[in-house]
Amino acid sequence: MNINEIHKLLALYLAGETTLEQERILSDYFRKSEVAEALLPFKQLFNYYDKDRQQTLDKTPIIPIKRNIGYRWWMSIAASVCLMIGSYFFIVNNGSPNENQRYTDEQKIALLSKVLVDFKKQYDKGRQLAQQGVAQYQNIVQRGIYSPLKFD
Amino acid sequence: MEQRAFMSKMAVFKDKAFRLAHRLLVSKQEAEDAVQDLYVKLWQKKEDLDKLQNIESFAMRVLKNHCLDVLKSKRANNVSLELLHQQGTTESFEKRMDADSDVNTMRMVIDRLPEEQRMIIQLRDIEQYEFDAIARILGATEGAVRVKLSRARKALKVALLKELKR
Repeated sequence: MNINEIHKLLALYLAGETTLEQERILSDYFRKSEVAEALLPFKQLFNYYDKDRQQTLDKTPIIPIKRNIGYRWWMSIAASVCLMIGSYFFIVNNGSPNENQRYTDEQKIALLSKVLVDFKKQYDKGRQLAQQGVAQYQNIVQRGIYSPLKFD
Repeated sequence: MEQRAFMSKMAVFKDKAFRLAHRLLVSKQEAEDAVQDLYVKLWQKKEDLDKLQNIESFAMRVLKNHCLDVLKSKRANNVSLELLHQQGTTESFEKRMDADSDVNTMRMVIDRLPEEQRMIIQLRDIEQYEFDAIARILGATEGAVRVKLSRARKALKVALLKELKR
């Protein structure tokens, strides 16, 4: 390749207008040829690019094991069962002084919806904690990182 | 095993991903972590990946965004870029002593360029991506990519001349 053509290609290169094919011509040229001082920076640059391209990742990435997905499901069920039992006792204990009282249908509906709303809140909280637990588990097992749980 | 099949499909670009992360984050350790995170993210999205035209561009884009986020949060925590570069250099100091000094000079000069220019040089001149792939990775038009690349190459030439005169 003659030197005038190299200069032309370099001008195109700096303008961002070379194709990959033309860039390969340049890098071949600088790999093989001794160049005048004016072109030395380009030679160093293209030779560096050749070297950098050989750099590889030493650690192969690890993909999480599937078991974890089962854990997540299982743990949120367990958490919600605990909360269900908890809220049952809570309701029973709170209800005991009024044992003799008879509620009207409207009152029953109001009470039940309150219980459901409370349950939903507890359930969400439990689920969130369970998920955080799973994330912690994954961090420890896969990445060797431990970060304490955050309680709101 | 499902994971193994997934990895053998995705491993083709792991070195490119590592080199891009290394170029942006400077520290080798952090680059390795970034690639690890990338593969976990890809695994979690594996159902969506089949719908993509080009998984590699998508992956490089996810990685690039992740690295820029890491850099942003570092800046927010007042870790200066100077310090970042120092970490990068002391970490592999011994390696650098052995290695070819030209390579070190080049690496240093490139790492001093702004992130965006470093990234575009990495994608084009080192990884040799076509302009349409770079446009997808950076979320820009091909025209904009050419303009940015030209600017980056010129800036690098100036920086290099200055460095060689010293």
